[in-house]
Amino acid sequence: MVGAKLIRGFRTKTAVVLGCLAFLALGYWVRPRQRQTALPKESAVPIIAEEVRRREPALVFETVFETTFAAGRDARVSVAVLTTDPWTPPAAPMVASDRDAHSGAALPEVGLGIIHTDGRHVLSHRAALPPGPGVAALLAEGRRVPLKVEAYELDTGLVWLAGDGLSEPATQRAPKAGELAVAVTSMDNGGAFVPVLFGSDCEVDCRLAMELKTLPPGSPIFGLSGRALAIAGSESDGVAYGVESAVRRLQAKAGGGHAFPASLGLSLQAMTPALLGRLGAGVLISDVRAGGPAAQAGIEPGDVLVACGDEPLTDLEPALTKIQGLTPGRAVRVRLRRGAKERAVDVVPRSVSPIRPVFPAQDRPERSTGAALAGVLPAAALDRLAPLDGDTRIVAIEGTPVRSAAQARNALRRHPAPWLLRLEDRHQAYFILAGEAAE
Amino acid sequence: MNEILSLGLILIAALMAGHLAQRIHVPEVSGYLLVGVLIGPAGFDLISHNEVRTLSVLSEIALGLILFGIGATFEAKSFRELGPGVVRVTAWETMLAFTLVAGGLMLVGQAPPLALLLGVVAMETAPATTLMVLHEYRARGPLTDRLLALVALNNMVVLVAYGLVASALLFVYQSGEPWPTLFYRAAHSLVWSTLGSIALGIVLGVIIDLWAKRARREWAEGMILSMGIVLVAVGAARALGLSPLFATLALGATMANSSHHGDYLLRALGRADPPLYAAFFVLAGAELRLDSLGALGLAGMIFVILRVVGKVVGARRGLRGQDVSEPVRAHLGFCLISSSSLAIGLTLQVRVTFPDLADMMTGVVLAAVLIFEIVGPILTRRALIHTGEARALLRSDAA
Repeated sequence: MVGAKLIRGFRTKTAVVLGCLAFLALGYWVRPRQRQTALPKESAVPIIAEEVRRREPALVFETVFETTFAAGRDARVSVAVLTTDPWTPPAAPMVASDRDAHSGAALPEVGLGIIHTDGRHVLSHRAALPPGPGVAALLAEGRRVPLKVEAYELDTGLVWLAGDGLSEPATQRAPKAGELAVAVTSMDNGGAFVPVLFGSDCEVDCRLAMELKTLPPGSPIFGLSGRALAIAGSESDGVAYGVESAVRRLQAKAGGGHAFPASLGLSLQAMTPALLGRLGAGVLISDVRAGGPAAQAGIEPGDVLVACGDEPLTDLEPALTKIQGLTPGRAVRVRLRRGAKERAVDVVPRSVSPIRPVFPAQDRPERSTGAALAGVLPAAALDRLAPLDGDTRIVAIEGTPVRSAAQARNALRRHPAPWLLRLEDRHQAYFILAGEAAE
Repeated sequence: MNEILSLGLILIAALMAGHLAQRIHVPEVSGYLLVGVLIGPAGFDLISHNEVRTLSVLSEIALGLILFGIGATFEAKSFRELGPGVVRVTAWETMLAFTLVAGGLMLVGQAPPLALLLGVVAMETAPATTLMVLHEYRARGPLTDRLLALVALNNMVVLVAYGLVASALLFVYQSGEPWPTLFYRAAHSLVWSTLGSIALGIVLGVIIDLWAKRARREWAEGMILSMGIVLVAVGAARALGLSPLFATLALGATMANSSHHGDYLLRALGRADPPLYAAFFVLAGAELRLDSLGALGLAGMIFVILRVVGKVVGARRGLRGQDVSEPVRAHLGFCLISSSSLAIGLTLQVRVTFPDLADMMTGVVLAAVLIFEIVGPILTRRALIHTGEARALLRSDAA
């Protein structure tokens, strides 16, 4: 009797333990995997971290590691995560500071936004926005400029706020509720892409870090609290700079003047042999930014830039170098050709930051203009084109804007092939010559 | 200063603080916490943040031992008597604290996600602080029995509630991942951190039972056995992504219910843990931030006040119809005021999952924990005196 009870007791206990073990094994087996792969052995990050520490001792980085994430199908993004003590704000006061007061002295922590040099936009982070309905920028002498949110990027939480007359440097007074202090910083326009150096105030888990992507050089780097921590490096060495030192460096580089390259607000396109035959020597203006210097001077897409100042322009790269080297604010005479007519206009270049707002996909205005290529261009002409982006549309044919497939077909009928087409895809607008006779 | 020197300093300081606390009639825990604040980064900075962080492994071990001790009081027999009543009180005090705090914060215009998360944090009651006060005053009685079960249940409810609220918020506010993935992640983490941890605790509990039957009943062996198994539970829980809190609770409860050696093991362990506990509370104090009080703000004040109201009124309402004396009825809620490591842990988790909310949340929680950790033990002491359950005090005060 007693023996039977013992055995029963023993059996129950064994069953419970086995059940628990099975449950543990199963639960562990079916756990959601984090999409994180092992660290590559030769990692560049310790070197980068060392470099950051050396150049920017004010940034507190406790640990730096690199992970490679499989984001999407085959894209791999290297992310270096810098962690700092979660309760302590970054030691470097990433603050709004006066344009000529970069002494490095400790300033109150108010650095929550960065004025974009167009004088209208403030770049900030959702987490940095003060609570309450209205947001105002806090500028020198305590001047407040009301701001409204224009766009924000879902992935990174970066917010673009707009308000008029923001070119003043920010004040050093700490912001009150409803005010957003803004910092004046500059970025230069280096060529190489660098790994993201993401400064955070706490340990970042895989899920969060996965949402990051490679930042173009010059991008501000925000901590999770929304404080601007650093500027992604602008040189090929893959270094992030603290905000203040980035400003100092760039201003020193630019001789205290404009730290941004000059811009005429236009996109240029190199001539292909076919286009050269049709349009003649020069650099083709593929797009003109609305409200930019070129647009104000009456320059239109399709114009050919023949000379800038005294320098004749024939190739794309020298033309870009020439324009970026202009002095912002000082008018320059450019020669243009439209059709057979040549003319000269004066344009005043501006200093423009290379950073641009990134709109979430659903915020991008739906384009209704233009016509799809298929069904408009003859199949033979379509076949000869290089592969195009899926939503490429024809927006103009031989200088005539096109709004529908019917209009496009009419225009094609009116002009003999080959046709000069202006195309637009998600990223850019450009010209091609289509329907040439087979070589 | 190195970590070992820090630890030595912590223990000596704790000793002095304990004596001083007895003199001025506050619980030792409060003394430990205060001395922690004083010598920690917020005070004289004798112990730097890095050292606190290195030594935090001790805190984790101590918390494991404390919860093991609480779990061990869960005997099926006594729980059958008290259980339903305790569940009712837990349900009332957690829900009322959550509803009042979340609702109040939303009323003053805080963002709903922040309000909900703070609501969850408001539900929590610190198990370690409470147990230490009970130990110090050698408390026995109806209030003490209920309180131990209450804090254990309370912490389970909080972890589940946090899981639910966080997953719900992720659904609503986070895009990017397809919802089946998100749902699976949330459901798994909820089931895993509760049932998985309990399963681990049961397995280890059975092992300790099997061993204890064969062991010589020497305190050295008992201490090594129980300490070893608690460390295995905490460590394994960490390695498997389980909750060390649940695992050690379940371990203690399994041991209490399946073995007749529980008392001996606990007594053996009792010889080892005073220094650990002292270090635990001094370190907890060192992590408190005096300067956070300045950042309390309106939201923080609402949090503090409504949490207290929710706990006190909720406990009273939960006790309605139960056969307890009036002092117990009046004071049980005040024993639930302390709030600690779990609250801060949840906030750290929020920082990872909802970075947007982290700053505001951190400000409120750090300030509130500072207040509750100081006030909570004092209120618990008062309750023990009023209910006559503080046996240690009864004697010394009478003398």
